[in-house]
Amino acid sequence: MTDQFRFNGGTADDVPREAERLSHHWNAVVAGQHPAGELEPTLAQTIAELHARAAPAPPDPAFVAQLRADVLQHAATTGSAGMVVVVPADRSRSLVVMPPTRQEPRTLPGTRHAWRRPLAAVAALLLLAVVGVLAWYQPASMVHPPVPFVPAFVATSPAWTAPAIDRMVLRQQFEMLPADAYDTGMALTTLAPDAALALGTRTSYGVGRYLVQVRAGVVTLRVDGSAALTPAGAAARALSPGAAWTLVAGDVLAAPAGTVMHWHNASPEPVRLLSSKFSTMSDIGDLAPYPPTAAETTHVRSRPYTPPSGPFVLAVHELTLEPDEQVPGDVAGPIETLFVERGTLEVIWARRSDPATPTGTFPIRAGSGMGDLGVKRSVLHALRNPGPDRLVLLVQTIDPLDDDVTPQP
Amino acid sequence: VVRPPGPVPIDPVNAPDDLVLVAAAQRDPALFGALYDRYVTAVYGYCASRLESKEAAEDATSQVFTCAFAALPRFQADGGSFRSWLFTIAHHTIVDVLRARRPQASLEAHPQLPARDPDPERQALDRVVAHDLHVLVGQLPTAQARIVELRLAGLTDREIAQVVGCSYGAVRVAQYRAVRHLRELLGIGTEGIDHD
Repeated sequence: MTDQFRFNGGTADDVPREAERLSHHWNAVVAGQHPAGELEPTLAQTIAELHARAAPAPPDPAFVAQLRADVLQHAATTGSAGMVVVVPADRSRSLVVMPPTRQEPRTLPGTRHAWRRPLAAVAALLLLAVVGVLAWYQPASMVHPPVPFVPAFVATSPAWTAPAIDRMVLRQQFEMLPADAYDTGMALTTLAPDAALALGTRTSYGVGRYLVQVRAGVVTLRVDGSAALTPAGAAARALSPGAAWTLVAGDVLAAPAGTVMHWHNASPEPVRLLSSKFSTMSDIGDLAPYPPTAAETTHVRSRPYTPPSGPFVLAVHELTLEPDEQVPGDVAGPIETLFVERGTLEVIWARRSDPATPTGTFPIRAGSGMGDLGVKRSVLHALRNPGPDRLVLLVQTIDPLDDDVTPQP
Repeated sequence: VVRPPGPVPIDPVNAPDDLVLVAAAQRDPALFGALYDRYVTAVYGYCASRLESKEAAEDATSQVFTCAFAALPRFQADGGSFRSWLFTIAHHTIVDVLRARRPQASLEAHPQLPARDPDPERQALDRVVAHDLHVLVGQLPTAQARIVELRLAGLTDREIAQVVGCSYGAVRVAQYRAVRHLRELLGIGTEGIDHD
């Protein structure tokens, strides 16, 4: 019977039945239990033989102890586990309004909620309908002349400098780490044509000022509260509450956390917004800093590996690497999170015990990012541009301030 | 430094359930050590089964636990067991490592891999050559190989389904086919069988 089953393959009904028996048998084996003995003997013998051959050499005790110390040192230093490690470009693609152009996200288990997708899609459609009606019915008093475009500014006194740093695009100074800060992060949001979203409608979405830079496109903004607009290359100016403004690429908006801001893309081109902030404990588990509606958002977060003990600057730099150019791991040390805006980044890893020797690479493509670089610092060899074209990164740093550095207003 | 609400009193020995440990570690990250101790050998063994060197396995293991520690606040029990979650990270880590190496890989680097050949004599030779589990599992289609490796790392069929992202039934059928194939490669029960 055994040989006939094996060489003739059995009947169609035999396969699922035998497959189920085999599965139960193997479950018992891996659980260290005595299998029931219903499985065809040679299959059972095969499983036993595999486990006999699979007995792996145990890990080096010194390695196990060192890794344990390294991981738990992070807990001792920061008081908490960190956040996102690698975020695919379209983590929130179930809410995408624009046609998706990138690969399927790879989510960690426990974050898959397929049942939410239809609900989210319906909610997004309803919201779009409401937004469309509101956009169509816009009182004339809300329309203001657009802010003229001015070329992007150059940072005056970046606290962190690297050879390839081009400019600082967002900057926020803190006298000390906010008491309710949990981790820091950046978000890149793409607003489809005619899409809108509201920031600040939740009770908690960060501490300190909320900084948003328009990276691409033309967008209309209305703020229900105090806010300052820094047109690219020009001085900051206060925005009148309730008035509508038009922002262009390079413009930076600063508003206290909790200020409600209504963004609307009335143009035919997509709009990309970059934001930087500290999150609070209540933000944990929610990757987006606001209810993701008609926008695609990629978020990277990081629990600072070495929290600053005094004044510091939370900054976002635009970093450009020419082909084959790289930033060594020790220079990249202050980077907490990063986004690849253009090109493909090659992260080169090293052994913890030998940071000078590369061991492997990990590619990050445009639109994707990486968080928790602080905890990976000990295994980071370099950030490199392996491609033929210029690579543009947005890197977020936490830079302790020296006394002689003049803070930027 | 802001710490989450105070640590949960827990005795890892007397409360060995993974989810209890996870809940505790989510509130007091120092307790992640209990989860690390529980799984470091299994994760290392899984990495070693997929990668060719001790150093590569150690590096991958480092990445797995670093990532797991970083992502622990977002772990949700309704997504499956902690073990399947951890091995999903391991699975993805190894896929990334292998994908990054792919352009550099050459056939010459793996001269020991026997070719697929239906010829019985060749199969007999393969059985002699197949003293190494890497070689044995390397004979399987990729999906079956991944399932067998996860099985040998101690995962159940349902956990494997969560790790590889396919249905429970698909895992059962694939592992059944894999075991039948491996049975032939190992030459178990073939004595006296007329292959014609």
